[in-house]
Amino acid sequence: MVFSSHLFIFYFLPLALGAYYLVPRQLRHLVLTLFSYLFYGWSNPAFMLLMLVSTAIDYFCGLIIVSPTPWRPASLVPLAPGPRGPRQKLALWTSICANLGLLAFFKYGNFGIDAYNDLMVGLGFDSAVWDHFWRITLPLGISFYTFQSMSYSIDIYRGEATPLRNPVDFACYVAMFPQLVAGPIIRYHEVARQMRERSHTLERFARGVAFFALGMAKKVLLANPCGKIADTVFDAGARGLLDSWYGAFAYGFQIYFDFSGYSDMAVGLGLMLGFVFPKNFDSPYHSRSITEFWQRWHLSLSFFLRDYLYIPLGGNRKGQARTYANLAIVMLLGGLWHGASWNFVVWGGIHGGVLALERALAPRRWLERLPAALRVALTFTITTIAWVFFRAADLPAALDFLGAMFAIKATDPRADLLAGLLYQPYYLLAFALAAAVIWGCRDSWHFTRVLTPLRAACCLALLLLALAALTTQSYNPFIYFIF
Amino acid sequence: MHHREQAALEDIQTTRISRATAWTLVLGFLGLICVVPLVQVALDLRRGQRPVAAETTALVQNGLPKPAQLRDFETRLENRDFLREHLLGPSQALLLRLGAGNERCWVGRDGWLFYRDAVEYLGGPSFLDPVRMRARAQSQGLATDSVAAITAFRDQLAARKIELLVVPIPVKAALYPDRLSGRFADKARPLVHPDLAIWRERLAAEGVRVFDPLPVLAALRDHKPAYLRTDTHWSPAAVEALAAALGPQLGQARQPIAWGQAEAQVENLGDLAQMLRLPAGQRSVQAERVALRQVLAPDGSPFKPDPNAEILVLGDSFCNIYSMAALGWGEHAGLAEQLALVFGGAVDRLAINDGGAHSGREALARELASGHDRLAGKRLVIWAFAERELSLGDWRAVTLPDVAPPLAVTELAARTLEARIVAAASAPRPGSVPYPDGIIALVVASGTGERLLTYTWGLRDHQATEAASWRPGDSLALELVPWREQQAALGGFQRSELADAATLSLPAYWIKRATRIQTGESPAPSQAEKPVPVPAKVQSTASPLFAAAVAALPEREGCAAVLGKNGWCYFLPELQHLASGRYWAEAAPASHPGLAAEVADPRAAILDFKRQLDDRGIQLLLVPVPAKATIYPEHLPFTAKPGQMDGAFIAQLRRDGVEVVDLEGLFQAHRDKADLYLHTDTHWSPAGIDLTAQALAAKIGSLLPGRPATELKSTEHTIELSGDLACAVDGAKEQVVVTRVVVGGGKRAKPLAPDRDSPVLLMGDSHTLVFHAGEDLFATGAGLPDQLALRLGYAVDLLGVRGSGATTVRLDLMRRGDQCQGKKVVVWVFTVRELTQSAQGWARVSL
Repeated sequence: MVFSSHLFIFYFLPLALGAYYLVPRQLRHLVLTLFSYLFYGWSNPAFMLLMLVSTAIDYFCGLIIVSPTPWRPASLVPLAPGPRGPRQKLALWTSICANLGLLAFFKYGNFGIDAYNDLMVGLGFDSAVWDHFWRITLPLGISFYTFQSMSYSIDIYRGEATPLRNPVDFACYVAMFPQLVAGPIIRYHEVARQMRERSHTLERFARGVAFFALGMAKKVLLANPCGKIADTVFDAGARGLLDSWYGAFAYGFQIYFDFSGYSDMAVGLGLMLGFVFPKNFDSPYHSRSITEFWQRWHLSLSFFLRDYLYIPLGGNRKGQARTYANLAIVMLLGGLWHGASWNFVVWGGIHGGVLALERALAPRRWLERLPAALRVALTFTITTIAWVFFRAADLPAALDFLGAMFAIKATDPRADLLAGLLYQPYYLLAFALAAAVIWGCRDSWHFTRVLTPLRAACCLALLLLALAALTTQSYNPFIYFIF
Repeated sequence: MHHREQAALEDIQTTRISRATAWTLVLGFLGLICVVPLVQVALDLRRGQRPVAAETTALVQNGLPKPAQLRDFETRLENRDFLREHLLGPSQALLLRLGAGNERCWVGRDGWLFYRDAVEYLGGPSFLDPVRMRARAQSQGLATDSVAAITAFRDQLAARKIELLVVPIPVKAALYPDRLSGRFADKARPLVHPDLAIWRERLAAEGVRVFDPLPVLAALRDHKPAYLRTDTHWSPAAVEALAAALGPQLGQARQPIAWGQAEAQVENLGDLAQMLRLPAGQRSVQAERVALRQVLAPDGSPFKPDPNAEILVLGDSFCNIYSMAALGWGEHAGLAEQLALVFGGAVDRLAINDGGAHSGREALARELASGHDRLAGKRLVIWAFAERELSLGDWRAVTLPDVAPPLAVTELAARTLEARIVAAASAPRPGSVPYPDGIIALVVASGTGERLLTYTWGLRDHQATEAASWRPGDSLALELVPWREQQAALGGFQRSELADAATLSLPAYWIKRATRIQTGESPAPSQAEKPVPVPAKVQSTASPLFAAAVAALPEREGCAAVLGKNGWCYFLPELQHLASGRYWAEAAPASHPGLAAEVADPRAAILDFKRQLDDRGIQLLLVPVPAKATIYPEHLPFTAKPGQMDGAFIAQLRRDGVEVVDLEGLFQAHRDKADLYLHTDTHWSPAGIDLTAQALAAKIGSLLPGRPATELKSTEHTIELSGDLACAVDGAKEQVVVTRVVVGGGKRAKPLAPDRDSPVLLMGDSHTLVFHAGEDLFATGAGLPDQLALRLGYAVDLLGVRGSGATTVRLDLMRRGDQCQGKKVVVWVFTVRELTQSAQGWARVSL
């Protein structure tokens, strides 16, 4: 189920909110869990079982880490600092292996088959190709909830959080529908306190509505039309220089409004249910360097990778060479987290490389001497070029696209068809509006901090407009659903 | 607490909003998300529909629902959405102004519209790249190797000594890139997908003949439109040009035919304009008018595909346009017709809208599997399909089976049965296909376990039908007619078939009527939800309960009327007719005890009359007027429902080759819009006449195209009448509005007189005279002959009798002594009660 669907907005959400607020307080997590499983199972009911298994493993691992008798834990308190015993290590690695195993099997199984097939074809053993091999269906949101679930065991192991005694509470944390399938990744220690106690106020609910409205408007009114531009250019067999840049920028706009819109909706829904989720986007296209970009883009993933991968690898504490290597590893794995494809590896590699370069150039400070606007433009251009790998169907397609962007490819007369499709007032207007919102407006957190009657009316009007557009559109993909 | 959580909490806690604003925001939001579903449920209930939302419990009735069931539920929820209903048109109009189309249609320059898939094919990536082909095959579950599929088809035809000629029809944007993009304004050359030449070379290497229509169409484009502005398809001129260019490929006709031609004009809004779903009355996209050159047989009748022809045109909607009336661009002027004209001989056509890569081959395989050798006598198959299929089509392998032995006669008969759905093809989602109508296939199992392949509408006029929601496990009461009988009329519509090739060998039927009597997933729907009100259980024999109820009716001296509910009166002999069992063929003498055996069988008399007309080259249209109690059983004074014997008789006549106009189905579909019968009379009402005239005019128009029309005028009058059954209600009167048809204006206006020289003869019982002949028949100038003339644009000849429409009217025709000279069509109207209640019986009358 997606937030920007008729079913979610007009049926699921009223029922979920109604049930949540009507049942006694102690049953709210149960209600939320049931609705979350319904939300998740809507795409394929069989996947509910998978999530249940993942949840059960991590729940028991959490208990085993803190108590030698998990079936009868005496007291649940955070572990004191110090070395951990074999039982605790075994429980932690069971949790990590189970989650990464699920992720590897479902997300990278097909990648393995395809890589094997390509190798066989490359070697001339066409008959050895696994053409009829079982194709694995990727369960929605598995990258998000396995990471989230894994963070629970790690945080408990590190003594940063207390395990939950009630399995329903834990299932609720893992499955919570506002952020289940496309994040933000809510690490356990970030909401541990709220799982036990949180407040429900009118103001909080109202701000949640404002967040939700802005997120919906970003998604439906900006991301979707920009997505149409991007799809048309990326799916074309031939494209010229101008069209290629237009399409690449449009994709940059689309992915930002799509993902940050979803995150806004998730934050809004969380607030309606009393939860406060941390910020996931902080005007990333205002960044003046790639280093800054990663302090503003998909923050929940950035911090997850920093805390659970970069720092355990040694971070910047083990010398310059090791720091560069750590950055490259983190970004490559971050790329692979998005999907099993060489394109994501290259995308991660570009970001990792530029991060390392910026770190290397930092002492000379010559980048900082450039005008801010130029640095923003440069950073945006680099991210846009990297997005080409993120969006293209495969590596050859990405290189072909870059060839058109830099005019190093012969022009096909069919490329001129795109002009008739893309330079229509509707698309140009949406593109210009997207750019104006990105560089001319503050982010949703800032806009909703002071909700004057005018701003509230603006939110409701945007919501109405978005819903009107939603009912008449069938083009409604969420990019991060496939990750 | 961690920094990010702390920062977020602090940010939220510092929210500044007044309580009034907060309440407004929250209540506005909650009101919006709650009111919409509540209004939807209320609207559904008001319309007599079961709310889709109420089906949620049914989803989990049999354990965990399947993803497809959930998608289907969500789709139906969205399709029923009243917001969508009201907002779609205006928002689409706004988008059109801004130069955007929708998911199906691109908006070009100067009012030109383009099919999105076609443009994406033309400007898209390689369709011969093995990596892309494999990716598409895996992600969409399709076969993508067009060369292999075409070569295999050629081989199968070659084994039958038949040649194949492949004609990929270019997409509109290939000929008119300048209408799509301003960058082509000064470039005259058409655009071609670079893989097309390689594809042709590969086929040539396999020895497959390919004809490239692009040069022909490009040459035409310079002086005439080659494509329609608002439609996916080509223009009539393009069809004619291609047919002319193909001429040298066709060879000599074994049996030459001197085809004639007639000019016609048709105005329509193309399929692309309709895909935009613009609001009614919009002016942004204008209809376009085209001139057709219709092809006529030497006797003046329109071209018909000949299954025994030497040439078969196989294809998709490019072969149906200008041939299939449902596409809105007229008839008798399509590719097969123009090829026949050029060829000078008969041509057969098997074309199905959409799926040109496979649907034509599959239809051909199905014909062979069902015992119909569509390839008999063929020497050339011309396979014309939209070129975009090379990139988007499903090129699955289709094996042409050996011709199966003809199915047993019992399997070919019309039948009624209760059956359970075993498999159902998915109906296309409205708006996802370029065509307004689509047929879906269902495999059903009868109580005895017999499996049948059935077809029904899944999409009508861009709307999903009730049948589109049927699922395996649902039980249906079905009235079936053999698919073969419907194939000529329905075979060209887009069809969603089942993937299982084994279904091809099942006996195929068209679902004439169906009622869902039990669903495997949810409780039976309310009566109001069903598309056509039909008896709850269709019976294959006369209803004994009904017969008993009729027998128990008291007879009143001097009054044969039976008073029903709400002032409705029924004619007792008509009810007695409905209570009778089988009344034709070997059962005829027993069912007409007062008559000699040689005049007892209506079927024999009708077939004899048809044979005589056939010999004179005259088309017979038989119009049995359904009984009032069949259409309006709810007003009967008892609850028993009549049987379906008339339906079985009509089905038999159709199998005998008689063209029967199905008024029963038509009346059932419109019975709630107006009373189609008079309450106090045996005859139909002006509304019933109007419907009948519409149906007949459409039929006659297709049989006699291109006739000059006179402008006739009509005026409405309210009249009061007391019918021939009013004795049951003490002479009570009723008011009806009649439409008088006149010729001339002002004081000179007068009813249109029947025309003895008209090519159309309307003959029959008093149903042809009521509201026409005046006096006891209530009015003049407003009966069936008048309404028919109004729609045809010319007067018809009339031979109506107040007595029997069975034999007397044919005797009168014989007495005319002109042997129907000059007639092209004879329309024979009589009430169904004549089939068993005629005093004179059904004598054979020689013209």
